[in-house]
Amino acid sequence: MGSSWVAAAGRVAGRRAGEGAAVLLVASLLTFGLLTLAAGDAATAIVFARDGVVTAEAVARVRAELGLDQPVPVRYLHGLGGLFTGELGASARTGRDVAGEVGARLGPTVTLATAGAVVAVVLGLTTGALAALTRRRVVRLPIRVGSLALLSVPAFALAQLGVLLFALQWGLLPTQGIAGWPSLVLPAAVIGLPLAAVLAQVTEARLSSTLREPFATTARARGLSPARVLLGTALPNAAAPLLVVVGDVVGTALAATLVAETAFGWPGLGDYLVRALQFRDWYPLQAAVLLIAVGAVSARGLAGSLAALVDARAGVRT
Amino acid sequence: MTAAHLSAAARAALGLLGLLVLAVLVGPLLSPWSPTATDLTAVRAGPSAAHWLGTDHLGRDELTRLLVAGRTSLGIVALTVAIALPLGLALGLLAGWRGGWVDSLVLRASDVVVAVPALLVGVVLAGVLGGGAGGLVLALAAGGWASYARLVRMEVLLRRRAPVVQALTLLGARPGRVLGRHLLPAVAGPVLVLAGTDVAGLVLAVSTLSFLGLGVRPPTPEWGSMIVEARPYLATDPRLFLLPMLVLALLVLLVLVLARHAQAWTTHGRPAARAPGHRARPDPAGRASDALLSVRGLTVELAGPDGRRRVVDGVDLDVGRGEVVALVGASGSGKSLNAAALLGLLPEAAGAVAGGSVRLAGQELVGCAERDLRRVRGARVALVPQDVGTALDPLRRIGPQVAEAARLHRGLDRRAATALARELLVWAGLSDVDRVLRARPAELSGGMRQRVLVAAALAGGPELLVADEPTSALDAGTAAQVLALLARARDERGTAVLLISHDLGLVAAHADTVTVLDGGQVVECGPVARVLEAPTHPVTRALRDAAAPATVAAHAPAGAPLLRARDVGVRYPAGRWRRSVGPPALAGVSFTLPRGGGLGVVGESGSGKTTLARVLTGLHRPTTGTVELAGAAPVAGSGHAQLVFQDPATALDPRQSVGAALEEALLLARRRGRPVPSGGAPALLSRVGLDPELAGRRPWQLSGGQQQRVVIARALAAAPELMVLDEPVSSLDAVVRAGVLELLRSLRAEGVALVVVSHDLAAVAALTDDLLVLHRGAVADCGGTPAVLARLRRHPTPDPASPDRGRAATPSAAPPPLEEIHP
Repeated sequence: MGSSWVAAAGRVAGRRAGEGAAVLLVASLLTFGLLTLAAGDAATAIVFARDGVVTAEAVARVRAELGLDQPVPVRYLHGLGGLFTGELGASARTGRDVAGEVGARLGPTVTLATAGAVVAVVLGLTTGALAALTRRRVVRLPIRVGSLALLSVPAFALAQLGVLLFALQWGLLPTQGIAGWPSLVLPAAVIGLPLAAVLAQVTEARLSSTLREPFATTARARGLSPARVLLGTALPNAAAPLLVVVGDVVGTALAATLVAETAFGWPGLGDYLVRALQFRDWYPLQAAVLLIAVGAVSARGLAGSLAALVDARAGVRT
Repeated sequence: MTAAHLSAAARAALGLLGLLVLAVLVGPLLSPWSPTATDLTAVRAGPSAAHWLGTDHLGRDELTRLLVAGRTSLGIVALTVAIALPLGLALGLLAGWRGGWVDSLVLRASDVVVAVPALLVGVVLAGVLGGGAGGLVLALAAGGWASYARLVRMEVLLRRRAPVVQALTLLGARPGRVLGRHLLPAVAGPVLVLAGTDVAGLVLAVSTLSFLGLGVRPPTPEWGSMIVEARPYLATDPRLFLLPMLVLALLVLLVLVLARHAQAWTTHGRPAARAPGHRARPDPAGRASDALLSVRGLTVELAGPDGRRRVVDGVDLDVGRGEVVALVGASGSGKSLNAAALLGLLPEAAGAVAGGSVRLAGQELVGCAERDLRRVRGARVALVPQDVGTALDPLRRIGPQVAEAARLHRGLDRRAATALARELLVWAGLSDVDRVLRARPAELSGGMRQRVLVAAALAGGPELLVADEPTSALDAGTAAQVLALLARARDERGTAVLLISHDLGLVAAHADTVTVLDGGQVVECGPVARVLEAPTHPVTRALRDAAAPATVAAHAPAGAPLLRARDVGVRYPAGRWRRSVGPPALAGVSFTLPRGGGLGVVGESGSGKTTLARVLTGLHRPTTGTVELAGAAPVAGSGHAQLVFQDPATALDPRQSVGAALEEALLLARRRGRPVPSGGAPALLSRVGLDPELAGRRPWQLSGGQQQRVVIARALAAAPELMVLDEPVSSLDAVVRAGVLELLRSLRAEGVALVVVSHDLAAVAALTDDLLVLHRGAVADCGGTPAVLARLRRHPTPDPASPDRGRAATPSAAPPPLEEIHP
């Protein structure tokens, strides 16, 4: 009986990995296909930006340099192959190697997304658990109102509000770029707070319903305190569905770097992606989209596999 | 439903949202200003009579721009929902109903959409499709349909097997009717809730895309781009930033609040208020005042949609030291809330409060501080809970759960507590105890779990056990063993037991005194022998008669059998690709049933009873063997066979009035060429003993007994030869139950054959001539009902108290030849 649930969870993890690969393949195909269909000609834009004048020869030269004169499927397969060999092509806009550019921006994004996810998970779980544990209005009402308010404001407006209050009014925090940990506070809060609101609501709902389960009543009937029932019984039993939500939260935090990095001039992948999109710069765009998608899909897959592990221990079929 | 059913908060939100939408739609038409007309002489002017909210950095009227921006945003959102919602609804319905490869395809496609964060999908699509409203709508709708499809698929999947769908299928309704008239209205509520959340998210997404430069392009006003444009003036003029942000946030907030209330607004199923109970004075019988537990005037009130409801009303009860007291009542009589109140464990969410007095050896427990109650729970009063399937924490091993109370209240360390747990499990009659200690609940059988729960309750050394329907989830044999175990707790450990049950017959053998509860009040109490011999109250009589019913007048029906089952076996597909087959749900079941005959099928849960019911009505095709109904294989929808369900509320569509449900059944029967009974819905209602006036009511306005009669009336619309009854009376109170049993007997007398599937032996005895005992899918015993019942009481079906359930998976008895039942 010991190894059977490990095997079950392993099967789930394998299935998740297969699904994740399929999702990423479809995502790359769609990104590339749509971009090819709808793209304005990048070469023309480059020549115009570089020379100020557009001539047919200059455009053709740039097209050949970038490989844009090759057939569409060849370009797609080339780009896809490059993902595995590390040859991600060159940026049409800057002319530099995409792998190098992406590598430099990966660190700041991972830092920011991690900070945001930590804010979301810590704040969301604690406030959600607090709301589930007590029926006192003084505790529940602020949590409820606060989470509703956070869900009602778009992240970029939240960013601007943060700048207005913490930088302009009180002069506490920097607003642009990377300059030590204080510059991390506002972007991480902008990513983490709305997600904390989502997580708090899910946590409260899940824990409350688990606390109504007969086994929670049995535990209380043995004389356990509400806090011990919450931590010892309700939380482990609500863990599987909560893990799935946490996986989503981490994935969404990665995507939310698009907004937070643009708003705060944070030199990461999200900022890179938005710029590439505005320039229809294929190779950087493909690399950034797929990297963020890989992160989000892996977070979901990992969380889902862990949840399956918990479920398998409880004898729930997956 | 009208606005009257909405809470005050929802009504306020709805009103405000209406005003906001109206302003956004009509405002721009009334405004004298153009949203794009710049006036560089009046840049960033404050509010004035001309410009109510001032002007922006180019001198444009702020109010007009806010309103036009709202119109843009709402237009894009409305278009997106108009594409995504119908698409998702259609795909979800198709996937949930059809199943198979269609379902896999829709599910995989939505997986791809959901796996990648929505923001990423929206940004890439909007960027690639180019700016402007059209591209934005397509980008948002491309990701939006998936959540609707998944929700609808799940709802349809959950309801596809619901009793109401089975009933309609058996009446001959085609999938189109079931989907369009019954399932679609049922999923409307959840879809509306999702749509609300979706709209809120879309409003945010439209503004976010503008912020990233991928959405609506300037100079067309949009809240997101207005916020961005205000950025340079954040320090000098925060008004330009705060105004669009507040309007946007207000809109989203209102939509979110409404979405939260939408569920309640669309739910029709409101619990009906209980009819007032019989008023009768219990004999107070000046009992010993040195009782261990002394309850006086206990009341429990629940907060419901119709205000506070008193569900336990002035109950007096005494339990002496070492005494076994039974508290008996039909379902809904307030027994379980009574037990919860004794331990101070009333459901807080239902707003339950207790009044009166509960004294444990003189200490008052009502109104006692939670901290003090905790020293009573588990240590002095312990609970043996009702549902063995869910009362143990599925994630923890048995050992720590049993030892918990000992560690908590006796101060034992882990080793000593485990030793005590081991001793208690052995005492409770479990074998292979070391393995049980390490097992998780899912690895144990129901009977074993109940023994574990008794052992866990005793671990704290309590003076009183409160056993709340400890046997309701067990088959008759295991139930008797568990009751014997509770009696041993009293005999060998001196623990008093308050035994709560609906079955007077079951508790009679073990209790000293009995208290009968009805409608939350004590209607009778006294020594068991006295109450059983000379009950003074009709409810007690009904409960007693339910326990020992009059047998049906055995008229030997003649003629060719109506129903013949030969060697019926069912295996459900299992495994990853649904190709391999699981263990048999049913194996080698054979019997015959004459016209107007009655056959009982008993067995514990999971023994294959429900599978057999589905096979006999044609809802499920047997894997092996044959079933003949009136000379042919049963076809669901032909009308020959109908099903009556355990919970009548789930067998009726809550949106349909009783009359409409019956008319629909008659219409379907007529189309299928059945000999439709004359007189229409009123005649059907009178036939099942209901007032034809009830035709205008909806199911939730009826009592449980009335609902079950309506389900029977609807089945009769098809003039069936066979009615399969799945636990037909187990959710009804004793008095109502007797009435429904009487109705079913009269149907048999009219020539309708009955198959009664139940674990309620009394109901089976009252309705059938022959009895089939199922155990793990195979026939364990069969023959005449009285004889089989007698055998069953002597030798209950084996509940192997060993953890190796797989070892006993083979049928314990070979199916007897056909002739043994009907020579």
